[in-house]
Amino acid sequence: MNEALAPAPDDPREAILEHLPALRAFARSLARNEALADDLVQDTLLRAWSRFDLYTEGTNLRAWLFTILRNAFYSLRRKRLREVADADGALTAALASKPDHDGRLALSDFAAAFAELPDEQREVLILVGALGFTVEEAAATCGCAPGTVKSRANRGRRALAEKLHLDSGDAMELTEGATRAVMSALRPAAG
Amino acid sequence: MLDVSVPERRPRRSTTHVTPGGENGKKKVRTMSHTDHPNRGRASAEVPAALQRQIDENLKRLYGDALDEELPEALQSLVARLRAERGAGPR
Repeated sequence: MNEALAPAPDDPREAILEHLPALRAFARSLARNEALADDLVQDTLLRAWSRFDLYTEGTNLRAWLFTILRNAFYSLRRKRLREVADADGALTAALASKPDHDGRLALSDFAAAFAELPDEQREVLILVGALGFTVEEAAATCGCAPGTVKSRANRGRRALAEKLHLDSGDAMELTEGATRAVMSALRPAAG
Repeated sequence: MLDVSVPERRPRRSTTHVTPGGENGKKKVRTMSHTDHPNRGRASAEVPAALQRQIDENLKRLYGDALDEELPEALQSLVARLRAERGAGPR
């Protein structure tokens, strides 16, 4: 276990730390920029740690934390709309510039298509599709009805299938090399 | 550190619908965004289960690395600082 996650005794706030990796994944899907995503997670940790009195013991801690992060993202986006949009465009362009086709779909194509989805669809797909949230948990996090979560997830999947020209018979095989290339593109350059 | 505030309300683009009555007489409040169109027939067709699984699998590949990565140094430092401040005084 990461040393930073080593538990300290008798402090219920330690439970926040086990959710940090999943928060990072969620933040990346929202922000589409690793540096901004990590800033959001730090901000979320600070808020949750300092205002843990607002959390009701016994309720869903994960949903509470993800709601804080989600709210921070949308608040920041309203303030910095132009910066976020430029970053999104640069990332999407970087992903789309990798011609990895060899008869199979590369993760870069999937990533580029996913980045184009509306925020509301991306966030529910990450929560229920990648992070294992139930529909009810995702609904609580996103502040909407469970039916809306299902609808957004379905719309997002349909949009992805259309963008990627898929039907149920097509397999999306991903090479290890393509995966590494995309993850490198998502990280900021060293230096 | 980011200059953000905890919003008091949901994003403005959302439309809030209040349904009177409902279970136990409580009003149901739902928030929908401009991308939600419940009456659009095209949206009602479910994506085939096999395709759903493939998409979810790709999402896990795309973002799953974050679940296994070591926390970045800045985040580790923040955790250490918070723990140290806890030891310095009451919560």
